[in-house]
Amino acid sequence: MLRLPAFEYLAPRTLEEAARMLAEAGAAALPVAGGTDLFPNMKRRQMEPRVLVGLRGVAEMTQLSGSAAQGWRLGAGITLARLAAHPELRQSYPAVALAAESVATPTLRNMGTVGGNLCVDTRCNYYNQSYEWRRAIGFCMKRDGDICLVAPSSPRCWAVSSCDTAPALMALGASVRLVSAREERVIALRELYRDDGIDYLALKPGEILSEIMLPPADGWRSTYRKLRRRGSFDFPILGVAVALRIGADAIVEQARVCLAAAASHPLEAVKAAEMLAGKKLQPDVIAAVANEIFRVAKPVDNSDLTLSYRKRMARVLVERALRDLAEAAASGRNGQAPGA
Amino acid sequence: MSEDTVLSFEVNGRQVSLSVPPLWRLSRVLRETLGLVGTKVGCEAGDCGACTVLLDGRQVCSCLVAVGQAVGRKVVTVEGLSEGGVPGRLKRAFHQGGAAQCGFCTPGMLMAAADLLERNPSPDESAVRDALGGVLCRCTGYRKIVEAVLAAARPELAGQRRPAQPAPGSVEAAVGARIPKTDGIAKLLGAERFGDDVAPADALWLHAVRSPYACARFRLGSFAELQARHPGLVRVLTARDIVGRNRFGIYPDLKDQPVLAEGFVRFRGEAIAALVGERAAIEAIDDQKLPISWEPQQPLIGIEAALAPGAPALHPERPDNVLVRGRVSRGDLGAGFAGAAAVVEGRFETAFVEHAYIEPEAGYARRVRGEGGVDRIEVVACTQTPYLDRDEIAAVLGARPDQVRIVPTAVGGGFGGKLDISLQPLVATAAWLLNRPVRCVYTRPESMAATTKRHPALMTARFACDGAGRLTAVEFHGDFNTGAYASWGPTVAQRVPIHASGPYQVGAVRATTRAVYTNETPAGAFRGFGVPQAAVVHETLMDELAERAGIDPLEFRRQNALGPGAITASGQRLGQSAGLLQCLQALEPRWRAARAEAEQFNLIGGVRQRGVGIACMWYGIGNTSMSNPSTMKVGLSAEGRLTLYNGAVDIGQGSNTILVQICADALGMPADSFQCVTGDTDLTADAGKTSASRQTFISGRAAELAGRDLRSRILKLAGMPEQAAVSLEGSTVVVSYGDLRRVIELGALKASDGGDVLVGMGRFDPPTTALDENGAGVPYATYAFAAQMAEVEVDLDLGTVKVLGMVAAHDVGRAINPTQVEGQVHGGIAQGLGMALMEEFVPGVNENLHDYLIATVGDMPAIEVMAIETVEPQGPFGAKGIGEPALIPTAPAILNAIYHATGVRIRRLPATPDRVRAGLLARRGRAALSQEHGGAARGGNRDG
Repeated sequence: MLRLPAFEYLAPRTLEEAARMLAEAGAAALPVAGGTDLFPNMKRRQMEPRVLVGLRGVAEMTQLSGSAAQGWRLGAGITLARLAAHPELRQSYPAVALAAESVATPTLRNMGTVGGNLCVDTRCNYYNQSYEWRRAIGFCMKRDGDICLVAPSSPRCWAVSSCDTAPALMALGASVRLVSAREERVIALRELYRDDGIDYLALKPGEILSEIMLPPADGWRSTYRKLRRRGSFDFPILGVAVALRIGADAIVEQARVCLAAAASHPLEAVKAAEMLAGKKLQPDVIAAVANEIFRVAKPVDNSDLTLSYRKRMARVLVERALRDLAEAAASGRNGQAPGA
Repeated sequence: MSEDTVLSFEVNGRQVSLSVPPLWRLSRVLRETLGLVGTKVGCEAGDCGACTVLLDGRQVCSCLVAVGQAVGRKVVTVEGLSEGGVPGRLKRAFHQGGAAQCGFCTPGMLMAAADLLERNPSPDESAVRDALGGVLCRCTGYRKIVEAVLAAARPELAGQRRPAQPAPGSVEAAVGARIPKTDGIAKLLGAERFGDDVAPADALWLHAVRSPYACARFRLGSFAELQARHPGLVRVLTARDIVGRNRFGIYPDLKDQPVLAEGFVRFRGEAIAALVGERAAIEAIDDQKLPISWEPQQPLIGIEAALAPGAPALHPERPDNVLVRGRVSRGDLGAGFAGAAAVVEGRFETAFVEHAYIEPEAGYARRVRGEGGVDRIEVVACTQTPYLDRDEIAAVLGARPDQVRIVPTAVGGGFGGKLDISLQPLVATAAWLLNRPVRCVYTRPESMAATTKRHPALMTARFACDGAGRLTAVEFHGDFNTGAYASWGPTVAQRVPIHASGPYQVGAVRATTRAVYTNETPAGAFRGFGVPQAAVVHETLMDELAERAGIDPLEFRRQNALGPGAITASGQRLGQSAGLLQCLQALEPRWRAARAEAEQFNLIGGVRQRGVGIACMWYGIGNTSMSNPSTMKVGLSAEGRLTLYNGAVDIGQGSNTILVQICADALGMPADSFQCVTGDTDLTADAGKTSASRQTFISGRAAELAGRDLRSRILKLAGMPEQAAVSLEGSTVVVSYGDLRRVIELGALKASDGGDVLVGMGRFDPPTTALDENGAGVPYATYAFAAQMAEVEVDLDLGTVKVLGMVAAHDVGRAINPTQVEGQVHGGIAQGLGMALMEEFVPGVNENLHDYLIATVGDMPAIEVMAIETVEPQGPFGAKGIGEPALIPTAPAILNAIYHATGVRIRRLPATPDRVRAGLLARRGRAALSQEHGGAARGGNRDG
């Protein structure tokens, strides 16, 4: 028996109702969509919300509409399976499809949602453990304790962002709609995250991530590369999303490079993107960008494999992603064909 | 939603309306409320996929779906898969193709496959792999599952794919045929009953309270207040409630593990108390709030800490923490090394490996009034060893063995991990004291924390050969971390030295071992008893020696191979069934082609480099140097019912089928005329443990003798000669020889034994001898041999290793059922691949199937199996064994392939990407350094 702690479950039918329920329940409440991450975490007492507001029945959160020319609106409640299989998105926003289809397993992608993945809890070897284990080793600050067991002198938590879709969507310039009982606002996806293992989401109390907006594809090519140990199941050891707009003369006009599992938030490598702008994707440019990525990726010793290995691999993955896109541009494709 | 809400949804085409809490997991509602126990639960966390069902046609983990989320939707479980259309084709393809072994993941696999085929009627292999990527299997290596899904998708090819099978009713055609599992249909219908599927509805639940510390004193306070607060908590068991012996263990003289700890725990996960009561009450109690005070102590973690001078003793009778030593010594070691042309040596380290069977331990016990008013206890649970369980439980209860009845359920994978008792003494004690049925199922973290593992090993060895490439000396020492309790530690310590020099003729051998106590999870039996760890050593060093001698690795093994009549390190002369040379010969064309292809591929000089490695193994079948008999009985009833009473537990490997095949041909009646009674200690004789790859060889021989015994009784009754044919026609046996024909009316015979009128018995105990102080003697009656070849691709930048293909040649004596031989090899390779590349259990850190990595369908290569048949005269129809041999050569073959691809020798397992990458960097560093030195020297020359 792995037991869920006791909680109350509310099943709103509309976004407005969901926001109201969340507001009324206050700090003890959490929204839940697919539950594929939350329920196992709750069984390990990593979190014990007294109220769960289930978003499955909110039909308006499962809408999906748009075009490459106008951009897309993705309901946060659409499943990762649906996102990965969408032919037009695969065509115009390959990084998103590649990231979505690399999450967990087909079984879990039929349940897990894109909104849930964007909000997925940060992970750490000292945190993703049963209550008894955490108690025996001494609790950490992310849950029940007051120090970081990875870096005991650190004032902050270093749990690692392990979301695949966020870097891909960020690289493509996505924004998100946040709805609460009091207000509605749209922010850039990058503004959703904070570099802190505990307060990793910049959500205001009672806010629900309801929708993701992708800007027009507008010549952007993109790809996502994920490093993991097995063919399925695993969270990223490291992920790299790259989006580029390449001009007719093969010169990069605009670039975004974002990393998964390299920090407590999806890490946007701004300087690396600046280094790409105005350049052709020549080997020396790629190498210089990869060095910059190596500099900014700062994994700590709290997940699979050694941290020096993970730091080095950031360089390799960025090089490969850039080469993918250089080849794609040369052959007129958009990024690495998903599923290839 | 209140708890009174009626929830309506469709299950298997039928509308159901239930008053259950909407937060209950769908898996629980299906299994407990609706009785659809075909849906299995392996982890409760989405990490294994066993509980996969279809929700509106899509595969989902039912353990993560709240039943409230299913309202208004359609749920399909394995019980709802039709016999026609896609589901019917899938089930038939699984059955014919041997895609189910233990059957525990089968329902989940079928659901995932049905989801795929409904949307994509003709998928390619990669689409099948993608679709099955969320369901773990630990038995099959996934190959036959993928093949079955492809076969189901292409029924027009089914005729070509269908394996050779005897026509219904044919005789003496069972041995060697690809007969589908005799117990296979139930596994495909969700009708098989595993440990958690059998408890009566009124059973109380038992939850073991376990230590979060590896080493600690503890005091239990009073549970009175807790019981007052939770009236449904019927009883709290502590060590004081164990009325008999509060110790168990495998060896008669090594009962060192308490059922419930007595004030002191020696590993994390050790049980200290058990809560017994109504399920709701048990679930409402937080372990954290129990009146327990802990006094943690510094634990001994790892072999070196336990052997350090001054280390505290885990068990007072072993002051140096050495449980047992093993030794084999033969020939003049000094001379062997002194005269050698080449000597190589190395230090190797392997990790704890978890069995990761998908079925967690589960079962129940009840107290029943026996004949003569003597009370008995019945334990119905998954196990690999019913008779040992019986004797252990009797001792724990202070009862006689005949007061205990063990009824094994179907076993959802074992691999050695269900040889030790787990929950059986707890539920037995509770049921005995309370006189009510009591059930228990381990959680996945509990199963992983509390049950045995493969021994981590620290091994050093030196191998030497002469100028002609003949082995002259082998010196080996291995320390094996046996954890907090003995379990099978002595077996490992004894078996390893016998096998440590590999399947080779060596002039001089000295091999020593120690099993060392530590404050870690007890290490016990796991497919190979330490030999897989030792094989990493001998096969790596054989490769290095071949290179030093300038001889091809396969050729080097061939010229040193043990063959018929050769003398082993134990001084045993091998019999005629010793087919390593034939295995190597079968591999040779593939080996030459693959090596050449890989070297060609590498000429491009890309970031991916390919390599091909080879490894050999030998393995003694049966228990080491001890009597380990099996007794089989076959009976004919007055009604003409033919029954094999088979005490061997089938843990998925297929003995239920193999033993019928053997008995059928020995008796001369068709295999499909048999019924089986299996495992139950009241109804079957002791067949020994399902371990040591012994059931085909030993129980198979007993089944053959039982079949022959029944046959000769029939012939005697009929007064017919040995060559006569026997056949069962209704309630008569017809015996015919030429024109002669006799009919035996079974109804006219006196029922002698449990309703049977004619009974055949067979007993076989393989001839072995004790070993002397130098390890000389006859430890096993026969040995299996094998050679495997691995093709890998290494990403030099990422350090990742992808196994592209395996070719496995196994001398099995005789392949009683080629499909099952292939299935064992596929599954063994999957576990060997895991041991080589990803599996490393760390107590307290990865006690779940998310962080403890076993191979998924996407990690498995193509596998070619070559069954080599060198008839073993002592075996049934010449057969030996395959279960453990399948795994042993895999890891070293992969490691040798990594070396071929990269020049990097991995000596610490598993070969994780960071370790491979570190090896590559070190090698590059050395190369750069030597280039630098070379450059400086050349510069010096110029200066001169």
